[in-house]
Parts: sequence; structure tokens; C-alpha cells
Amino acid sequence: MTRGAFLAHVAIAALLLAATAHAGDTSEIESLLDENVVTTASATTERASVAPATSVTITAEDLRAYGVRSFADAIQFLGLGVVVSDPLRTPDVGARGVLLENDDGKHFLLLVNGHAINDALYGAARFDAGAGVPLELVDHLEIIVGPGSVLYGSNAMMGVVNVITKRARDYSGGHVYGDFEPGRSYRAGAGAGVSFRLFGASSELTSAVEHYERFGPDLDFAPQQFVQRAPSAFRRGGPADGVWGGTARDAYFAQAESGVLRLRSGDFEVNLLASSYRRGLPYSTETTNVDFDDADSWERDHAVRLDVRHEGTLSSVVALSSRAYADAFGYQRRLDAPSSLACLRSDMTTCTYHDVGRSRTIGLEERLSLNWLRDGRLVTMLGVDVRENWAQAKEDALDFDTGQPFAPTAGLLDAHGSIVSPYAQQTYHPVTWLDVNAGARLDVDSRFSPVLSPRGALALHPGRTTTFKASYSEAFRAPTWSETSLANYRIAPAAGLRPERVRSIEGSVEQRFGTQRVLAGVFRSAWSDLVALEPLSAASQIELQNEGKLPLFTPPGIAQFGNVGSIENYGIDASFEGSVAEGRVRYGVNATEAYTRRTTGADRMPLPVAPELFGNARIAYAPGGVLPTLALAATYLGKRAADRPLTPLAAVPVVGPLAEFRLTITGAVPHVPGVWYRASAALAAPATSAYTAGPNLALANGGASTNAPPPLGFAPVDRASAFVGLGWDFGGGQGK
Amino acid sequence: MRLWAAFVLIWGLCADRSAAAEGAVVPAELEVELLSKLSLHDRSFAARAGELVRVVILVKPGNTRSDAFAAVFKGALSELDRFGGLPHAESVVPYTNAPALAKRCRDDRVAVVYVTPGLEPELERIRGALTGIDVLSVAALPEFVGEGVVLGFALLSGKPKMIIDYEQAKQQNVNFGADVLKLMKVVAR
Repeated sequence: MTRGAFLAHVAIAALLLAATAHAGDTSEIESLLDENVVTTASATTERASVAPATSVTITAEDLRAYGVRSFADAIQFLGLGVVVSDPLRTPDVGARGVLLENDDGKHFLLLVNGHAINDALYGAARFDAGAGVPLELVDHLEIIVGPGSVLYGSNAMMGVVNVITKRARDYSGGHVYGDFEPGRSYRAGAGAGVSFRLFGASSELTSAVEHYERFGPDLDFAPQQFVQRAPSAFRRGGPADGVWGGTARDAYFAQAESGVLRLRSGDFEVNLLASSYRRGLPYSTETTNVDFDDADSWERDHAVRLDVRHEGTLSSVVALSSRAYADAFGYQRRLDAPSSLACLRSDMTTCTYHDVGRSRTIGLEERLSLNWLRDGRLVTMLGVDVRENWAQAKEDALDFDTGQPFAPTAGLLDAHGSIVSPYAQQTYHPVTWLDVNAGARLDVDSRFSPVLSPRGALALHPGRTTTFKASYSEAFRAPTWSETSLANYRIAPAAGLRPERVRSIEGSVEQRFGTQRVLAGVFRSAWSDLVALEPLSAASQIELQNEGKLPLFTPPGIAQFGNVGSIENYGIDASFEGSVAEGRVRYGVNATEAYTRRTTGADRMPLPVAPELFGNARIAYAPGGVLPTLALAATYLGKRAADRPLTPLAAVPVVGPLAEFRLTITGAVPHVPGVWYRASAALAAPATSAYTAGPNLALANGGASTNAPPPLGFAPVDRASAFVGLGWDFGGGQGK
Repeated sequence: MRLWAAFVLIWGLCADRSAAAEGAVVPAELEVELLSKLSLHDRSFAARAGELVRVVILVKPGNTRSDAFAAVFKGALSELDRFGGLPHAESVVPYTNAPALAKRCRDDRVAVVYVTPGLEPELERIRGALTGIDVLSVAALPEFVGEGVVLGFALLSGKPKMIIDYEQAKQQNVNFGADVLKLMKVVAR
């Protein structure tokens, strides 16, 4: 079956199901109750059908029913137009056929209750356990697919994910929970919600903390036998047989702690977020050589974020929203690697690189809403976001055995920047069948030329249940401090980097049939000035070293960020979701097909790791009462290119599709008030992903090759897993 | 420091003009559509409304947020062709006292009273005044349900949820069928 035929079958099945769905007396009310209300797309509360972008809402009920344990899971199994690829480090998140390997979430903006999580030093956001939000506190996720810089500035190139936490009325009392995944992980958390009056004002407090720990599974990497120009042992204490690979039992680990506190009182709201995330580096990649299965090589993020806001209604025309925020972010990485690969020192076996970085941000945002006709039909929003950033970083090169530095501290960064971002948005609802939204934001960054991010959108409603949308939008990503200014043993500074840009145009039609909804859309986007690492020429390296911008000692394979690429991309999205049997049976199918090509110099090729066809499907049956809810979800990633050739100068291989199925059962424990359970099992195939694994000799010898190394292998996929969980909601009884 | 000073100043200017925070609320046009459809499932609605659905939008005099909610709700109603299958007329009414509200509801055969923010201190008196009168009171904020208002709407997981004070509904002769009651969250005072 061709891809087009597959999507056509999905659409026809959706229409048939919609047509045969039972239309009961209350179906119109149920249909209205099933409408998504979003706040992210235009920073105001509106029906998703009028929002100026394609949006997806994933509810807390979905998260629990489908066995979701991370935002990456939620996106993968329940999202439309968005896709996750797991390299066994932190997941890569993409949208509509654009997915960048080792991206660390830089091209998606992650918000928690409207507060940006992407850090100022690396621009990264984690979508796994490192996201920093206890999952049981999440009320819903809003995913805006497509450029979103018009209101949110940098990073929102692929989209915006806004995590909304529960209100006290939906999280009252106390809550404890935990789950256990044999041989892999466990998670435990607690939270509480309470409503009260403070100085006469209606107030509420919700908070939760969570600890997550991953200690497996064991990962099997196909052995690679090296003969020359490679270390005799790739693992400290391992056999000196020149073999890279085998079973990694120690390096695939993670510990994550997170806490959220949300206080609302009168017109004030305070959000305090704290998180820590330490994770292993289970295998060498295209950009990182690391000792095989080394438990001492790890990365760690930690962050504290504070957001204080006030909503004031000055008159029936004027409302003012004020927000002050502050972020502190820290990062550490310790990387042990064989000396012959990473530092070419004959007097030591293992060299250790220890990176430390931190950033601080304070900011103030003022937003004025002018509701000219007083009825919400013509609203002007004017805002300005002012922030100051500070960034520091350094890298030490150590002899693993002595702990002593073998070279001077490098990568010293101590920088400061400011960003002033005025923005405006105009919404107009002149007649019942038309909504207009136009806006623009100008980001004036002290490090770059100003960037304008406009957006224009129309929503037409020829009938109450039909919506046509068309929109044009632009977004950008400012190069991070780590891309422009870091100068260490692997990366050269890159002054003169320009922000990445994306321009996107899209159209969609949405039709509702009672409690069924069908959506089909088309999109086209053009990316320019893509920032990526490229090898630094010997001449440039010497020049930078002479200028004192690079350490005099550097291992082979030093690279530099540059504006080296562009992407062209177009495709279609299709979605069908609905419910029957008075909402007891809920289901949905999402599919995206995209044609994506990246141009770098004279090369034009598909994006590595990014599938051009992907989607998911789900169905859940909730009989009610004490009977459990059964839910089955599946996800599919079509064939895609690997992230690099398996041997030097060979063609990049294409790997086959990947599918995963997950069956989850949830319910209340009979006769024990407030106690609930969840059990889930997942199967995935095939056994390997599109990420290659193995030492990168190009990093070790500057790309020179006289003896062919063995072919690289692929990183494994966790093919079968299962977990069980238990929770207790007490003192409020509304923990769902 | 200048940033923070400006922030504090702006808060100071706004602080005395605001009332209780409501967070994200269900869009008014969605509330209005739901109300219109719900009316068809209220066994008392036809007799209550007669030939014209009269909607009173109750505001707190001098309260800007109350005015803002009222204007948006009235605008949403104006886009609704028929309310529960009937023509409708809406008016914004400043709240003076509970007996006057009760008299107006009785005399004008008001079918729906929409209670806006700013009236929190009056909710108990409004509840008392409307008890025994055939009228549906609707809350602009979900917190009002359980404090004296019969019906309200809240956002739960990004979707609208109906909330009802069933006991008060009976006191005001609001008589929804079981088919829609099971779609509602019932709260108690």
C-alpha cells in the first residue's frame, strides 16, 4: 500500500465511523463538551477551532489511561504532527517531517504554565523524565504545531508545548503514587492541593514532588572489531581485544527529581519549579566518544524557576497582565574516553572532560489587552518582554587515574546579554463565520540583528461544525551561548552566527460529526540558516589558537557551529478522533506524511533520523464503576535515514519502520476508597533504531582514513517492557 | 532593579481595581451554546421561558471585571440565533439587593440569571432570594456553584465541564433529565 493510499484509507475509515456513530439526545452537548479550549496559540482562552494554529490537547485522563510516563510518550502516542525519536540519551522531538538528531529539544519551546523551560545557555528542553514536572500534577498538554515565535520568541520553530498543571479543585487533598518497571525504572511522587482564603482573596495551592530512577535495561550493541588506529580496550578494565560493543549494563541510567508549587491568590499567581536530571551516556555517537558502558560518564541538569504574575482588569476595555520571572540553570557533563580517541596522550589510559555551565535569567513581561467593542470581538494585545541573561561555562581536561588536569581549563565563558521583545496581536471576529488573527513580535537581542516573527491566520466557519483555517507564520531560534561563544577542547567559537529562521504556510479543514472529529491539513515550511556543527579546517584552528580563542592543545576532530543548512518541507496531516457509547469508548488516529530535504552546500538529502511518514492510533474502553479502563495505543515511524554512514564514504543507510504497541489497564481498587492502579505492557519492533552506535574515528584522527574500520552498528530499541503502578488520593477525593 | 521597580509600580496601580482571579474560563460563546442546548433538557424550561427567553446579566456596580464579563457574555448571546429553540432578549442589570433581583425575576419572567464576578459577597443572599423562583442561575466562575449559583462551567484538562448544585437546582425548579445530569459534576454546598 502506498503512503497516499494509507492516508486515504485512514480518512475513509474516519468518515465511515463518523457517519455510523450513534447520535443520542445529548450528542450535541457531548460534542460541545468535547471541544478543546486552548490558551497557548494566542495567549488567550479560545476554542481550538478558532485558534490561529493547529493545536492538540492531551488530557490527564489520556496520560493515565494510555500508560504515559513522560511528555515524549504523550507526544509519540497521542500527538498529531509531532514525533519523537529516542537515541537513548534525551529524546529528539520533531514536527511535520522535520526532526534534528541530538537536538535536545532546542527547536520546540517547552512551557510550564506559560513559563519557558528552554535554558539560556544551550536552548535545551527535556521531554523525558528530565522535563521537571511531576506527571500526576499535569492537567493537560497543549501542543501547538508549527512556528510560534509571534508570542513566545526564540526556540518555537517546530512548535510550542505548554504543560498546564492541575487546579486545586481538580487536585484537592493529598496524593501519593508510584510505579515500577522491572529491570528498568521506578517512579514515586506525592502532591497536594488545597483551597483557602488569604487576606480575603480566594486562593489555592497545588504542589507535587517526584523522583524517577532508571537503571536499565541492559543494552546490546553489536560488537565492532577494530584492528588499527583504535584503543586496545574501549572499556576501562575491559579486555584489550580492540572490540567495541557488547552488553551495556551500567551506562543506561538516569535519576530525575522534580517539584512544582503553584500558588494562586486573588489576581496573583506564583509558580516555582525545581528539577534535577542526571543521566548516563550509554554509547559513543557521531559527536561524542565515550568509554563503553561507563557508569562514570554522565550529564546533569539542575534548574530553579520562579514566575510571578498578576492579572488586572482596569476597565471593561483594558486588561493588564504583568509577569516577572527568574531562572537559574546549571549543567555538568563528565565524559571518560579512551586516550587514543579523545586526547591522544600516551601517558594516560583514559582522559576525562568535565564541562560545567550555568545560566541566569531575569525578565519582565507586560501585556495590555484592549477589548475595543467590550464583547471580545475586536481585541488588540500589546506586550513587551524584557530579559537579561548571564551565562558561564568552562571545561577541564583531566587524567582519569590521577584526577589531575593535563591541560589548562578551556571553554571559559562569562557573558551577558539582554533581549527586548515588543509584540502585538490583533484578533477580530466581525461575523459569526470568520475569525482573524494577525500579529508580530520583534526580538531585539544584544547578540544578533533584530528578528521579526509575524503571523497571520484566518478561520472560516461555514457551519457550526466546520472550520477552514489558513495561516502564515515565521519563527526563529537564536543561536545559544554554547553555539556562539564556547571554546573548549572540542568546539571552536563561532562569532557571526545568525538566528535560524523558518517560514511556514498551512491550511486545514476540520469537520465535527457529533462526538467525532475529522481534521485534514496541508503545510509547507522553509528553514534557513540552520545551525550545525561542521569540521573546523586546520587553518581556521591555527588562526583561532593564535588569537587565543582556542586552547593550544586540542584533540583531533575539533568542530565549529555554522549557518550551514536549509530545509524544505511540505506534507499533509490527518486526524480522526471521537467517542461512542456515551464516551465510554474513545479512539483516535493521527497520521502525517511529509517530504523533507535538507540542503548543505551542494548536498540535498533527507533529514537523518526523521521519518517522512509517522502517526499513532489509540482506543480506550472505560466501562465505569469498579471495572477497569482498557486502553491500547500504537505508534508508527516510517523508514528513515540513519544519522551517519556505517563506514566512511559509504551511503547513509535507510532503516525500516518502527512500531510500538502499548496496552494499559487502569482502575480503582475495589473497596479501598481513593486507591487506583495502573499496569501497562509495551512491545516494539524492530530491535534497533536509526541512531548509529560506535566510536567515531573521525573525531580521533581528523577524518584521515588509511585502514577501514568495521561498520558501525545501530543503537538498540527497548523491545519489551511493562510496569505496574499504584496511587492513593485522599482527603479530597478528586485526584483524577 | 529598575525592571523590578516598574513591575511593583504597575502592580500597585492595578491591585485595587481587581477582584478574584478566575484563571482560564470557558469561552463565553461556548457557555452560551451549552446553555442553549441544555435548556432543551430542562423539563421546566418551556414553561419558564414562555415565548421569549429573558436573560438577566447581573453585574456589580462599579466593578470593572463584572462589566467586562457581562459585555463578553452579552456579545456571545447576541450571536446566538435562538436560545433553546426560542427567541431571546438579554439585559445587563446592576445588582442592588437580593429582594429587588427576586422581584425582577418574578415580574419579568426571567429565565436565566448570569452572575458575574464581583458578586461573591452576595452569593448567599442571591441564593436565598432565588429559592422558590423558577429561574436558572448561571455562574461566570465555577467557584460560584456551591456558593449559591445553580450551574457553572469549568475547564478540566482543556475541555469544558458542567457543574451543578443539584439541591439548589431543585429549589429553583430547574429540572434537568438524567441524560444530561450524568454529564455534569454535582457539587454540594
